[in-house]
Amino acid sequence: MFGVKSMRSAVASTASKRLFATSIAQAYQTRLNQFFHNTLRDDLMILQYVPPSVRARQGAAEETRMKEAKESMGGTPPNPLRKHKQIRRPKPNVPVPTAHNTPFVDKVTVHIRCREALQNKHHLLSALMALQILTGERGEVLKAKNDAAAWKLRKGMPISAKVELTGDNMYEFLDKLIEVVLPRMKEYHGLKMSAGDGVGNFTLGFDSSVIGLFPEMEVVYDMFPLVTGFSVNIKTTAVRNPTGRLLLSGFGLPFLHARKPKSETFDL
Amino acid sequence: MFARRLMVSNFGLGARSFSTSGTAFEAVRAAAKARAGVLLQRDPIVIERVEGFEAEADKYFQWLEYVSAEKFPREFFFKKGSSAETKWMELEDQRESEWYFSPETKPESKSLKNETVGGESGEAKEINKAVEIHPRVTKADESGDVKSLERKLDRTLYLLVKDSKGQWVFPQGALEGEEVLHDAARRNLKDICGKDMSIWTVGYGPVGHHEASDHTTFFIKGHILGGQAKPNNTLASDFKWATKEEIESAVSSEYWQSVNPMLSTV
Repeated sequence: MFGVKSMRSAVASTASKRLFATSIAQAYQTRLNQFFHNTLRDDLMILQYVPPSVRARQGAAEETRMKEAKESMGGTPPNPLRKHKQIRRPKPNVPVPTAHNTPFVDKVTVHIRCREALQNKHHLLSALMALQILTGERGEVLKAKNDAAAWKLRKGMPISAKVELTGDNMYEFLDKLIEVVLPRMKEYHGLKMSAGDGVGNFTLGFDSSVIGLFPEMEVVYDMFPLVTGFSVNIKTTAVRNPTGRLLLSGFGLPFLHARKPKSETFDL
Repeated sequence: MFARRLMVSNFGLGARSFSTSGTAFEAVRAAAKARAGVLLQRDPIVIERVEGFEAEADKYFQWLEYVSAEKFPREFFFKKGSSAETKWMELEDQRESEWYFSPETKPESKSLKNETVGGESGEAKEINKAVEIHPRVTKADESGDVKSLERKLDRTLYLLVKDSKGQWVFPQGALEGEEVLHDAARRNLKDICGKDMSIWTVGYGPVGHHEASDHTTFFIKGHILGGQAKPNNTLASDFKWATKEEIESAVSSEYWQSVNPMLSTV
């Protein structure tokens, strides 16, 4: 293939990373995309629906609770000089669920942090190749934002690589992950109920043994000098964790209550 | 065939959160007029059929993606002379013939397959087996078996039963005692269509209703995950799995007016 003049090399050699989109939205959608739009979205709307009478009842209950809390609150009043101190990032307000604001998966980021790149930045090539194989898209190299003397990290060092997936590529990757890779993992039972960043986005972390479970990687596993773990960040339009859980469980991502194995429990 | 549903069922609200005194449903129920029905659907099994201009446009966009994509690192993926490499080269040669820009700009094409030494690829060919793709049109489609769940794979099918009056309706029945709507719906479905179906009902609230002269039916949406309907002959004489258009022709016009908005177009 190298050195052969063909249409493939003629067009592909012009840009290593596409600066513009060569195609507009396709009519064809992947299996998971169609499943979401035709089946899952309706179910999400039904599950989130709160009838007006129940909403009014919940609103009234909330109001009485707030009122009682304010009245019963004791102690010193809050210091107005410290009012500007925002301890936590404020969460966006929860909108009233309608047919138009059902949650959906916005973006999936596959990220590989390469510790070996601290010594030799060429180790990142393994990570970039792995990302290209897993997702079909070229990875972006990320540089360190801060210094960390404990790990001999200096600001500006290339340390990791990521790919941001949207649209059909995102659904294909999620489909592969949920249907093929997670079932092949040893002793993976699902995300904990405590998972989530508080505003409906979820991250799954995997070690180096998992990367070989992807169907594409099985073929070329031996070619890799360095096998790394990776993390998958699923960004959803859900505003709270339970809504995000609802959405992802609809795609088949398992969630479990953390239970201790029988060997660790005992009856008194 | 049917994937197991892992969804969180009781999202936010409890099982009895819809049943409070003073709501419209309670009033109807109190007058013994409410009935619980089930809109049971078999979800599409294959992706939507794409035809005509849509299909041609998709082919064009896919070709654009292919042509402007990163160069495939053949030496990295395939061992020289392996059957996988031969298979890939055959596919590449087939794609060489496609060119959607003006014909003058098409670069010279060289067959990749003929580059390799003939002997090795000949052996590899015997090992290669073509991937068998099942047809989208099944036996049930050809025979028109409306009871089959393997008909119209790209569409949503809904369960219709023939009631005692000979009318095609969704399975429905009365509420007994203090039971809530979704429990009544499941129980009635079991009574009418047997216990051989694996069902997942969506939430606790209805997705639609139909007002008849002496009763009002509230429909709970459900998905069939496995099994088949086996109607109880006293409650339902017949059943069928119908698409949206088939339901329109089968049910009465007033029933269709109430039920129409609940149904999926796919």
